[in-house]
Amino acid sequence: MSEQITDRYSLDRILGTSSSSTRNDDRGNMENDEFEGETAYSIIDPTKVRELFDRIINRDVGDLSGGSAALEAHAASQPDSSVSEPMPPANASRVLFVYNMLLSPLRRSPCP
Amino acid sequence: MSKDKKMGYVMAFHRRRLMETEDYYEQLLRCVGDLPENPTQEEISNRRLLVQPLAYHVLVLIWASSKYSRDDGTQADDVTAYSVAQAVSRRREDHNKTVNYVGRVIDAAEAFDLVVREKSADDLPLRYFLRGTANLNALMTNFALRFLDGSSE
Repeated sequence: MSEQITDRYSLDRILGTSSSSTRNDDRGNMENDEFEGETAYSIIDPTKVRELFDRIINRDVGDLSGGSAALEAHAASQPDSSVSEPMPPANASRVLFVYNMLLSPLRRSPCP
Repeated sequence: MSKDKKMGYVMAFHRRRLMETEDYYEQLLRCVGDLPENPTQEEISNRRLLVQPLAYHVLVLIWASSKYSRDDGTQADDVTAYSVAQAVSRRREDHNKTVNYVGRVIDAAEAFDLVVREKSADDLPLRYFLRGTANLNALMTNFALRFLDGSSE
């Protein structure tokens, strides 16, 4: 049975994230870290980011809004099997990913 | 859909999201380069700032407005740090904090030639328009195409 993560300290040890010693090393920048790590998450609204993105690109990117519907559709298209661990729904997650990133500008060739 | 199957999809979805995050981090580090041997606090802070998910939100908006995301290669709307911050700020009271945060992300991105500020033609009001560079376009397209091509699997 796997060990359960029960406290912040355990999580920090596993992820190698901030501990008190790391914090002390970065004391000079602590105010900034706090701003970036905590306050920043509450000051920007992801929905507004997406709406602004839509406004900027100003083009029809198709109906890709049905994230869970796409997942269901993909699941329905899969042959029913008794395998307990299904294959990753690559296409469905791509649809979700494309919805997040928005597809259309990607038709352009990547820059060198 | 059976419960096992559904949970499998949920797991697969989150694994995919983790892979995307991991890949974005790698692509970004490729753009900004490794830390020098004796990095300054600013060099550390810039990198730390850019790898945050919210910094991606700022960068993707600048990239979307850049000429690289257009079929005709023209610059889209002129965006400034203030206009971006004002549009995405969650609350009116947070505008100043958001402007500050967006400005710092842009400073960091500018240090790595991902974004440049272009002075407006008019002196009044003096504004600095944000322009995504070829590096930013490379970051955004490479990151996305790796997943769209399935080459990251």
